Amino acid sequence: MRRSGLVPAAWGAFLIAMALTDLAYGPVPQEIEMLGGAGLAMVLIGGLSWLTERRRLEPRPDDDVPRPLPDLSVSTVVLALGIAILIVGYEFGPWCVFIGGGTIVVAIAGLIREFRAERRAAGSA
Amino acid sequence: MSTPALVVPREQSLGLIGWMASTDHKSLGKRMIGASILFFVVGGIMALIMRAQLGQPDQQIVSPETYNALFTMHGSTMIYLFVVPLALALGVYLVPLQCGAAEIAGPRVALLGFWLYLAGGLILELGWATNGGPGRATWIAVAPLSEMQRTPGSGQDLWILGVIIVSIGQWLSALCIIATAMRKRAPGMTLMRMAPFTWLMVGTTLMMVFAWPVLVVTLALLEWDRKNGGIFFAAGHPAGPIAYQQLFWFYGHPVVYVMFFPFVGCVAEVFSAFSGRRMFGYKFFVFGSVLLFAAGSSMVWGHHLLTSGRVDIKFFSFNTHGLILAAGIEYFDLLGTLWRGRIRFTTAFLFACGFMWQFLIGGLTGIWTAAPTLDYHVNNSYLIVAHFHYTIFAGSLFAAFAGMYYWWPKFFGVLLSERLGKVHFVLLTIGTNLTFAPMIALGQEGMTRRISTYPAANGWGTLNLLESAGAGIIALAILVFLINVWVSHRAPRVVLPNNPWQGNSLEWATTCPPPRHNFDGLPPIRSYAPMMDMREEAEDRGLPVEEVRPELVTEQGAAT
Repeated sequence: MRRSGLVPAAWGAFLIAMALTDLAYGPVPQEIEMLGGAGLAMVLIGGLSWLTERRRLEPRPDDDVPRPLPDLSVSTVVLALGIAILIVGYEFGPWCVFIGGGTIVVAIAGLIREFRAERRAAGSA
Repeated sequence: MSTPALVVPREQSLGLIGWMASTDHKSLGKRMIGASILFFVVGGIMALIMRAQLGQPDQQIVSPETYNALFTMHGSTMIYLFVVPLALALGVYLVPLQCGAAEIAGPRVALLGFWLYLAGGLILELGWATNGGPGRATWIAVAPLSEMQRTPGSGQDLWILGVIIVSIGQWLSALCIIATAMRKRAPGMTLMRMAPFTWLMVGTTLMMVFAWPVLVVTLALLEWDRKNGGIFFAAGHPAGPIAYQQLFWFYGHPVVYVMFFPFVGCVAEVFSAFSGRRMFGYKFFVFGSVLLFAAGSSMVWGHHLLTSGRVDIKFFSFNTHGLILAAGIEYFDLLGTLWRGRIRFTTAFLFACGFMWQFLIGGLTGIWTAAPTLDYHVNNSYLIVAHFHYTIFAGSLFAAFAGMYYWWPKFFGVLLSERLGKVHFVLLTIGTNLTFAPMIALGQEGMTRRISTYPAANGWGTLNLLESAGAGIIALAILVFLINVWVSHRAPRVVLPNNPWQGNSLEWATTCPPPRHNFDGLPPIRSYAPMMDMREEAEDRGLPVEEVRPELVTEQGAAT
């Protein structure tokens, strides 16, 4: 059964129903937009989840194949640092934005290396 | 509980790089717990300074400007950097285990979330080092107070940017948690077999999925306003400050529920374990909590603006009162779990009980704020301070301590001292009520919040002195907890059984602490209490309950 998508979808439907209820009160447009928008977004997420979900209750053919777990990811830490520096650059100036951007580029390169290494390790296992 | 006395060597340290970059959700969860407790201590010190200032009338320990910064940073630290991250930390650690997963979904994303949270938190606190001081426009950065003309200086900008970074980090952590619950469940773990705590984390993260981006965008617009002269939220703009409040509270009310929902899950697990019973009314609990309570909480933000007269007062008042129904279901189910149970009065259980009655006070004082006529009377008074401290501190924090005493052996392979734990509980209960109960009376008498001093003629001195004494007792209680952690971890290690408390959910099927891949074997999952199923099956077969191991019943009836 594919039911996980139901959770956000039901949640979204509930929000939409309440947004419709708000109409009866002579609504403030911003309230309807926020509540209805959030509900619609959750219904969409639920729908997408339902569409893409694979069967989880039945054992899958590749269940016995070991999958590599990333153990350490220094690049992810560097990426976080880069994002933080980039955002703070809005206060400190363009030099800070450039440093943050550069750090993000380095981090993404590192992440690509990590993914490749993982694939190689999985292939040789 | 019996503990075998086999002494084992301490765990090998991962080193600094390992500590920083490990993607193991258990290590990540522990790092988040540690970071959030550090921020809690920082926020607590700010609270103590404020209570010292208010302990006597006409005091000038700190200037009014510093007091503004203190209450802003106290609220911000506690909400953005302590309670929400602590809730997420429990989810990051426990949801994969309770779902029977080997790993959290998106481990790198979860790691990114943690570091963004930590970096954002440090940036937020960095405001103390700036010339003008840190953010001082309240924890909601209310516009137009937070606009550049009224709150100049880099501190407020760092506050805004820090909260943006923290919120992105929290959002990423939430995505990983909900994806784990939805996609990584073990075979047999259907939605309606998920542990109560996991369900409440699902409700929590659903709220975060849509509410957190609203905060990030709102604060980005506010920062744009500060740099470019008030385009969106400045006074005089057609929507102006009300638009800011609508947007902020669209995030701001769900965050209140994010701050207690996971902890209700802790209480559910603790009550179930220490009463030796399954969760009573599980389906109602799940439905009532996730759909009515959590989703309902997303449509009551307008009650924060009732006195503005710019929202649908009837709609928001009606919705807010509707939450009483969901809360009633939760309370009924939690108390029903205890009914005819074989109760063990452990520290975790006592803290869970503390949550129940203190949170009730928080909930009941909430009715005053939900009813428009009463809200006009108490708006911006100390009763509001009492209300949210009873829900978040006296409620959530007590439940968090219940969870910590309950899961500490799972996290660290160490049992916290029960004796020190009970001292901690007694002191915290006394301190909490001494601090926050007088605030109800002060609010009724008209003491407004966010004032740095008050004249002696108002007659508020005695109650304020009691509150300050209570704050000191709270500090003492937290010190006892930290001593408990230190003493318990210094004691010789013993190998704990997998399930020292006879808990019911799946995390107790593995070792304390669990291995890197979480489980060597899973028990059959036939209900939301698989460990209780195992025990009952073992009892049916005449096996001693203390010796039940997952492999005993997974081997197709080959229980030995």
